[in-house]
Amino acid sequence: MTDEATAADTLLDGDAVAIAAAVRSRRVTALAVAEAALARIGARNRSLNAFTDITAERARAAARRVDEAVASGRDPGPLAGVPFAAKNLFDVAGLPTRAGSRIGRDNAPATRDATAIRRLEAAGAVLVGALNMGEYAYDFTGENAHDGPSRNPHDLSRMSGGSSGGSGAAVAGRLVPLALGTDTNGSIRVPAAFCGVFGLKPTYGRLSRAGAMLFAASFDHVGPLARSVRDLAAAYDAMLGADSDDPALAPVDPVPLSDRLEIDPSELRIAVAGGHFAANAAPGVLEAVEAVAAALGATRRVELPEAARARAAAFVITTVEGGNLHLERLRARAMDYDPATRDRFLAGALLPAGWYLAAQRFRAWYRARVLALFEEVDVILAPATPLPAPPIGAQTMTLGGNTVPLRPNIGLYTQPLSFIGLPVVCIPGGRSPEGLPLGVQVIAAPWAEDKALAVAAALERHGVARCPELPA
Amino acid sequence: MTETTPKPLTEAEAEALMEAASRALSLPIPEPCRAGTIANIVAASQAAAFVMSFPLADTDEAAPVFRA
Repeated sequence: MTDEATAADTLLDGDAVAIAAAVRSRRVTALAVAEAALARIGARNRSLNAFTDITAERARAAARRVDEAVASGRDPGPLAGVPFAAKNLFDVAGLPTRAGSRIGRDNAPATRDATAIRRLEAAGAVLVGALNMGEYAYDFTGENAHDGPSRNPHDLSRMSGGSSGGSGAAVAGRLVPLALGTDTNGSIRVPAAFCGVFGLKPTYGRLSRAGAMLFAASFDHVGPLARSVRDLAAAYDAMLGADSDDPALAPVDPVPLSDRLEIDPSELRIAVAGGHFAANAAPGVLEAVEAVAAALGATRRVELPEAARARAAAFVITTVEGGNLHLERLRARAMDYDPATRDRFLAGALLPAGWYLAAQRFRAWYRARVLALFEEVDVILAPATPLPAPPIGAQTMTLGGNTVPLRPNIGLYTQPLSFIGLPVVCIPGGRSPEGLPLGVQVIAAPWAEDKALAVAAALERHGVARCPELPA
Repeated sequence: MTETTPKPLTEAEAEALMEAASRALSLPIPEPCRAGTIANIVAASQAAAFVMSFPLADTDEAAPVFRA
């Protein structure tokens, strides 16, 4: 390996902002970084199964453009030369958008990139491939009947989490420093927690979903997974902005956050979520939240009213919107679906409208009550998942002493939050008794991503939030 | 839950709903999917019953985002 190749490979163990700084200052070329990332993917993806597509030639061409910009004195962008990958429900020009499905790979290749990919590349980032995921995003496990499961870099026998499982595995496994995911009920936060990385689910309507296949449209969010808070902020900043192709995008000012991570958390009112969020957790889960709270000096407790009912309502809305979205495909090709999603989509397509509308009306009630809570506090802490990454293939879990189905219950603590579109940063916050990563949700009021990211950044500075080392 | 709020469906009731809605939506349910679909309708009915047992006012409008 040449000196530059060695330097580029070493940079991949750091974060995206450090890579961009090295490229911008000509300490390494974007092409060398792209080659190093491609080499890592070639060496490690066999065991992680994080990537379903590798866009090597596209990556080399993009990296050369970045290097040409640097050489000619033009600004190559804040993410210059940063290799990244996208969950395979994002359109990538030239690839069929499979969305984790067998059916999707029969689609014609996408003719343009999703907005999120276009904006990251405009900031200088380099797309190196598309990532494994649970079929059509109806998943918390990272398992996939067509592509096989993506695997947890901390224990290859365990789940990566879903549905953005390849995103979690690729970032935690140091294949790329940055990945795109989507979160409907927890699909960024669950893999971030299981794999021990940072994940940001912004406010609903904040980042454009155009060119990303939807699942349950009134809950779907786009967001980044990374190994540092400043990387989350840099990716978020790059993806901000109006987009007429996403009807859910809200008309709010695109305020960048990379220079706003130094807010002193002592100026914020921080509380720990009780009730629903303090029950039914495996050993170590609540202790991780308490450790984060102690580091912040947060002693206050708040209770989100009717959180369990919020989760039930999210379940109903998700299955109905998902089933309806897939109606034509279910009519034509039901048996080509992953058995783990097929019967849920079929059931969702058949449910009464009255159930759906009751859940949507309850959602408005719940939203109003939770927004009132944010008059009293700025940030709320809660566990991300009720347990660390389970073994691949597990079907049940223990919840409050009862054996319950695993798949739906992984979202116990994430669903009541995405239900009303709150921004959440999932931080790696310690390890379980068996040594697996645990995640903690840092939750803010709608449009207050700055507060959630600032608290996460403070925890990172104090060493409370950090990506755990991989096993040797 | 009051007497008037929906109860979770039994398997037989879920099967009847599946048959009727399948016809209404022209969505055939393949034989290997029937048991799983019924089980998921039962699960959804449990969630829906829990949601619908909560009293809402006429002023509690549905939440979806819509902009003309």
